[in-house]
Amino acid sequence: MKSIRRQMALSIGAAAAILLIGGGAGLHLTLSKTLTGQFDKSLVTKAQALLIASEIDDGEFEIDLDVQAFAGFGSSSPGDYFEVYSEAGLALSRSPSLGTADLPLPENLISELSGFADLVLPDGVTGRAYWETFTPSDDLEGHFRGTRILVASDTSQLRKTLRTVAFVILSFGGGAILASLAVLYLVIGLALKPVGRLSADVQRIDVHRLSTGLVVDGFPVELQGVAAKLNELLARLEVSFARERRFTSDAAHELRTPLAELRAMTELGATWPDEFTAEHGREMLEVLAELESLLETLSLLAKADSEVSPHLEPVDLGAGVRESLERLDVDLKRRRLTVDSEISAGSVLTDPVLWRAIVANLLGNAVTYAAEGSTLRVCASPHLFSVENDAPDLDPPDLDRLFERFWRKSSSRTEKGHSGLGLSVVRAAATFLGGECSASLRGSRLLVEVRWGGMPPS
Amino acid sequence: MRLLLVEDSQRLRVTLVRALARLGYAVDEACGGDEAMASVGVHPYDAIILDLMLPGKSGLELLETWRRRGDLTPVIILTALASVADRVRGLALGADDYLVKPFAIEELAARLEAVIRRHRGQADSRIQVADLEIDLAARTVRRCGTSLSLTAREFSLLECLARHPGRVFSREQIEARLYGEADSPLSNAVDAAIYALRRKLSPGDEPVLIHTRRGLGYVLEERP
Repeated sequence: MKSIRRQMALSIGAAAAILLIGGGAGLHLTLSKTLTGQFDKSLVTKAQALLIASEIDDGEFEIDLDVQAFAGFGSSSPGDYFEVYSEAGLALSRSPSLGTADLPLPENLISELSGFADLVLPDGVTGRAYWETFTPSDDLEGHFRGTRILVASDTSQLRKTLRTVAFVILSFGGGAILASLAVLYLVIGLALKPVGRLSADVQRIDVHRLSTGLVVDGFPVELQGVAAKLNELLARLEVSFARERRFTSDAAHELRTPLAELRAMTELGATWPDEFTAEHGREMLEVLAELESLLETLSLLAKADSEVSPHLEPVDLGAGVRESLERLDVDLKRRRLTVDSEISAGSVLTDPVLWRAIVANLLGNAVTYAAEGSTLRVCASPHLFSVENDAPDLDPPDLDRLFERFWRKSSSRTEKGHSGLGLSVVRAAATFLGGECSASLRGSRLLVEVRWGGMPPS
Repeated sequence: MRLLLVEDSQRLRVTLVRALARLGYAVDEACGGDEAMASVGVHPYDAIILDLMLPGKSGLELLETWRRRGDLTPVIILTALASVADRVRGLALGADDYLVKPFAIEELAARLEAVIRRHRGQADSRIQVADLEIDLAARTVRRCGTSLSLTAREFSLLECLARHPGRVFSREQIEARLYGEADSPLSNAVDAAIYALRRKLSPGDEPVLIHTRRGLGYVLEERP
């Protein structure tokens, strides 16, 4: 499993290792160049000392032996050598440390007047040499023009020093890398502790009590925003889940009574066939019709609750209202209700299914709950549909609960065909269509209005 | 056995009344809380089937009132409220059982039988009087090991007498237990039912178990 802590420690450790190795290599190179430079300078100084001490005596090239010893080329100095060659390449003089041997000649000794070169010394060790072309100051005749002096010293000490430096750099660098990895691991662990706590807190959240959420103040500033946003999302989820649970429970409750009726009727007929009459059959069909109607209403709500776009098409304003009123005609007459309508000509651009649901539910409610013998007032225009009726049983506090799903003023089932979903369907449909639905009490008259502010009429 | 069915759904109420009547119960019906309250004050019931969401007084209010008054008639709550909290509330207020809709009539009848038996302190559903065996749960009757076939009303009448062997029941008491408010029995209906039951209980030469106490009523007992 990927771990942020391990990944960060390894990444930062790798970067630190690259930097340390680079730095170490740079340091070693610089030291090597500086020490080699100093080594070369000492070779030049020795050569200069020998040149100053050189002379032509009786036509012979000589170098004072004291100066040789002083410059470190005595027989007791095995690591330092010099040899002087004539322009023709004949050895004119050599250090006592060489004995009878010659120094190997660097390749570019002839072509260049002076220079440095690495070479293998007569005793088999590697060394470094400097050569210079000169003419002794007292060579008045010019016999020794083009004479070359080659000075060489053992570089084993220099190499040893550089190896020691390299070892120290590598040891300290490696140690530093390992130590920094450990420290990084700990520090990153400490820094990531709040992330771990956030993760643990999120895992501890009870799925049945989402609103308890996280304690935001306990987290560092960088995580407080995340925790706060999580809390906000959890709270919204809780509300949504609670609404779903209530809706499901209410829907199940609404289905229980008609199912109980249907089951009891079926059981009665199955156990005592002589009890089963045509009336029974009709009643069972009635129950089934109610169940179908309830399912249709629930489907409408599901459609209105969905987030797809409404299917808009022009719908004749008057036709929908008249059609609904015709269906309610029997009840209108039975309850001696009169309808005072004001319907604009033309059509409205809307979803025909939801529009019919709005009109049918508002008119159906008005016909059921209006006081007998009273007048319903219906208004329909491209921007408004409203129904007003006498509602003597309704109190102002009921307005707050009017649009709750499955809410009925009376919880009993004596009102056939009204599940308490009508107004919530109207509001959900109106909202889905971009409008809004509101209810108000004017004395004992209830006015329910559905407005489409932004919906252009066709 | 006389029951009160308090249910606001007319279709369910009518269906249950028919079914319970076929099972031998005399059932009075009430569609609302106030009506139920009035009925309980007038008649003694062996059990009450009570819906919770009613017009007027709710089922729980009714139950609370009855229990406060000391009325311990067994009550079975029959409701669409299915949550654990609702069940607990109903039982805590004194209901004897709780049945959630939809339900089987057979189960309702079994639970009715059980709560009535419990209420009368009878752990066993079987009653034996001499060589007559009655199983109230299975609703079967045997005499000398032979199974007898009774109508629902006859069984109800036998049950009424057999629950208290040796106790004399007046015609009025029997009528109140056998017939609901909706029934209008003839004046000699109880006598006719007793006569028919006597004959069925003694298909051969078995001794008569149901005796008449002149001027008092009827009693089920074994006489030497």
